[in-house]
Amino acid sequence: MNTSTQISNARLKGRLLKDKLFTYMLIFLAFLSSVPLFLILFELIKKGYKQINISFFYKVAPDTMEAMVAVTNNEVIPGGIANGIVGTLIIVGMASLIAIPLGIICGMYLAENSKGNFAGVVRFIVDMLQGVPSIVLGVIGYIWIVKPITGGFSGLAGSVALSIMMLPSIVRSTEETLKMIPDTLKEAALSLGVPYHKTMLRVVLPSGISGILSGVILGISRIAGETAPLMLTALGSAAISTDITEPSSAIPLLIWEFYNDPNLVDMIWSASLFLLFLILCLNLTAKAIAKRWKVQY
Amino acid sequence: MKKFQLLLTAIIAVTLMTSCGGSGKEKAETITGAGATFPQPFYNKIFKNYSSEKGLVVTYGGIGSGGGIRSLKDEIVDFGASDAFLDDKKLAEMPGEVLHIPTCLGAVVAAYNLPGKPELKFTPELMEGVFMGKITKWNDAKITAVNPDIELPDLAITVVHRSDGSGTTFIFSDYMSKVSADWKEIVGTGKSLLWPVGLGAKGNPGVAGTISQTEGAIGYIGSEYAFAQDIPVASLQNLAGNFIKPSVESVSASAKGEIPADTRVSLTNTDAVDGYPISSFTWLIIYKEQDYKNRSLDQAVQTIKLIEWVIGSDAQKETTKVHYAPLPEAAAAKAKAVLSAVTYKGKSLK
Repeated sequence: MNTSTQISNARLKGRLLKDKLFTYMLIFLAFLSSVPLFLILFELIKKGYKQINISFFYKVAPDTMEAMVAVTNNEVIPGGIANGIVGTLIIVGMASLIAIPLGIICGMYLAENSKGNFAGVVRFIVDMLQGVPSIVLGVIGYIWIVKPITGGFSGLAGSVALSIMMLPSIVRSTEETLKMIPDTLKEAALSLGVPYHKTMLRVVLPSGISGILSGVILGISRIAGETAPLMLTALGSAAISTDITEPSSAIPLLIWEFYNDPNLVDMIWSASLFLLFLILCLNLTAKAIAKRWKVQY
Repeated sequence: MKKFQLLLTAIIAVTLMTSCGGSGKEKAETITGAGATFPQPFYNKIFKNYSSEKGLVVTYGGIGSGGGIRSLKDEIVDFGASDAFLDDKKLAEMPGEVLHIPTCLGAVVAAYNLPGKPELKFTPELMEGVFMGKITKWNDAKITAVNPDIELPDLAITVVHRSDGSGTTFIFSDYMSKVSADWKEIVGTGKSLLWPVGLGAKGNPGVAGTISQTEGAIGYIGSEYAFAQDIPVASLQNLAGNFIKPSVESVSASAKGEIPADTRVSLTNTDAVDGYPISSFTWLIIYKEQDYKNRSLDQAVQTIKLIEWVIGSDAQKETTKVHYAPLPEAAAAKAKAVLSAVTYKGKSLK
């Protein structure tokens, strides 16, 4: 064994050590970024589990006095967040109805005409839209819907404000997904004499459905926790409201209301826990759908 | 794919069905109000009672006094709510004649955090000294002179105030401006102020939380927050020279003086002998002419009925349970008189 191989062996060991060190550091840092989620979950579960019972899901929010009596007697606060759950479902559902078709159509256009001048402008505008602060959208909802159309605070106005918010994420995820679908698929359909619109609706869109759907669900979970736009548009309601032209409650609005009432502090944690759980579920659904409907080429 | 289409159709069908309920509004189904957060616990309570008794949904959104006034100005609510009455300039800016109906009384208290929870007495001079940063230690000679029986620690005073615009700040600064020329000159009266000293915290819960977590802190909060969280509050020397502890009785007593016909009156620094000096009415504000923005007669009648009920004995007896003070009889009578002036298309609703 001569000296040069000894040196290279030593170098190799040094490199392997560096490699290992770097890998472990990456693993550690990746783990570190998931720590906040677990801390949040831990905190919410620790403080919020007390209030979670069956009535939490079908009763409306308690008032100060019910809460005060319960807190002084060290009991569970009666009532739940049913008005918020129903409101959130209706408002987010309406917003999705507005934003999903528009977003998918826009995304399809961008994917089909990725180099066009007009497409460039549209893409730029959609990116700009993504940066509009949520409170500004609330003001827009107030000016566009609350004052002239419903003549008062309404769930509909909240839906419109939130739909604008979820639009960009749907557009971009649709565009990116459709771009990844091979052209040969489309060409095959067209060469068999299938009209263009049928090719798009029956071949291209279904092939990308998993990507599009996960974009949609991410958009929904993005808006489900928004409070600022709803304060200016939906206002909140103590009763379960299914009329979209009337004020409506939502879970984030309830959390804000609980925050303002010293007796209802315990409810903040439970409502937050439920909201987080709802959004985690949506995300997991998106993952499951993406896995199940993935098309192999 | 079939499943997905079915799901989509179901979602659309359900949403369309729920959205069809909104047509035809001859009969009032919902009464909407928005405004002050200060009386919100009281309003939430009584409006819930009203809804279950009369089957009419009353929706109240706590978006702040300023928001309540703006909502009424934009004619998008049946009533607004505010802790500060509209001055003549603001009244002139509104599209119609606005009426003020006082609904209950609340107090702003000086709450503090000191070891051993001593019961402190404060004079207006001490209030000025502490909140303007002239007195910086709890064992300052000026404080011990007023509280000779209490051993005060050698601890720095941390003033806590609101960082957001608020009716509570307005009531507090209105009082301070009345008792201190320096305050009036330097800080003034308003919903958000340039504070000479102290920490800002958001909302009454924020201030209450900061006080309970900071030893040596003092701040002003709505009385219901201090009572609900059991934070010690100072007795204040009123105009008559008596030290008054904030309570339902002493707050109610502050409104015993003369009340003008339109009920727009500031109660701070009251001359009532047993009145707590930082008390205030909180008002509902409505248009005198109820025919605005396509409102039906029924909507107007239901609104007035609701407000009549709020100032009536059924609702008033709930005030004390949530730490507010009921309207004294004279004030309730004035409020009724104001309400009787309401019209619909020029005709009285009485």
